[in-house]
Amino acid sequence: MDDTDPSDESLVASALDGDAAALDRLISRHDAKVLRVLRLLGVPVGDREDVAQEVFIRVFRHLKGFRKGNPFSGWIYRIAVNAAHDHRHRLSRRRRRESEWEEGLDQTPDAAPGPAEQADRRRRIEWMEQALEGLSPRERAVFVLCELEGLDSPEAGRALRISAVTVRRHLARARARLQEMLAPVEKKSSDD
Amino acid sequence: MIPWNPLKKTRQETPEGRRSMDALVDEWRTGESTQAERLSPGARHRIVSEALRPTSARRAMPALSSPFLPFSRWALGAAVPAVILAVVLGIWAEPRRQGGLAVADADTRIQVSKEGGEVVFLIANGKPSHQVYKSDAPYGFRSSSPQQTRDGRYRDGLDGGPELVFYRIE
Repeated sequence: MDDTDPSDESLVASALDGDAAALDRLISRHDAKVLRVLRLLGVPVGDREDVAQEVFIRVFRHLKGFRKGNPFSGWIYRIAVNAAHDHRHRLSRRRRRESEWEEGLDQTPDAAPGPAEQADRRRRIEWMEQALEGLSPRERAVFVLCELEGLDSPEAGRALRISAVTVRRHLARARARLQEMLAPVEKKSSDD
Repeated sequence: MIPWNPLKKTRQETPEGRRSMDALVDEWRTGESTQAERLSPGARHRIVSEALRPTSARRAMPALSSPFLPFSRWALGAAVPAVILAVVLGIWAEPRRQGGLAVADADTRIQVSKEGGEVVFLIANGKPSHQVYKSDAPYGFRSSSPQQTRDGRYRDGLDGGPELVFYRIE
């Protein structure tokens, strides 16, 4: 890589020397990914930026423990998944998740701008993200990392500290369960 | 080897279901690439500032005998600040508790809660008013101006962010 696009390892080395620009660059390279994973793992929008900050601060505080040769993004995924789990655990008694779920169910395709096909696609995507709530935390994390973030089984296994075989088993269950939940939505789309 | 459980329903994908799920994931990826959520500049600045703070200055916890209380804005950013109450109850080692109140001694009661976008202290020890000092460092109260409580209450806005905030109540 050239100087204009340093590798994550290079930025980590600079960050360990106290280079604020390197830290900022690492943030800009990975913040969208962290926020997306937090969203998909059920962190409410009002808390997401705070939790994302917590993720990055945890990452940077333990930067010395980052092993060269391992993908930096995999490490960030692990911390983001743990932070999301911790946050949801703290909020486990809040009713807001249920109201968000209900608000999502009340959204109608007619409310969305654009052609009918585009609105239909958006509705299916929204249903899929909401349906993730019906998975177990582990199945959800595996589905998010493998299907939506594009990690392979070994990478997801390292992020979640489980074997690749276990990742594939959770993924198969997650996909099957999502299909069951989404079947009525798919049927409605084809009937319309 | 996982023992077979005849009562456990086995979920499997159908071929049609697999195609449908693959198509849905592809649609999601296409849509996601155009609407990425990003951290605000303020959040990025806070992260870098916190990361570059000397280790000794990070999250300094006061001695249990200190007369002030540290609170994490994150904990307050959540629902009922159970962490803060735990800190209050831990520092004020009182022999009795009533509900969510921390009883420092027979006459002093401090209750902390979150109301809307504010943290609210309810202070009761027989005095008509109190002065509250606020600082982002455990021993930095000299430079802060005290706020007077009203009806035994002190309110502070929740700005978000990761820093600890220390309060001294007199």
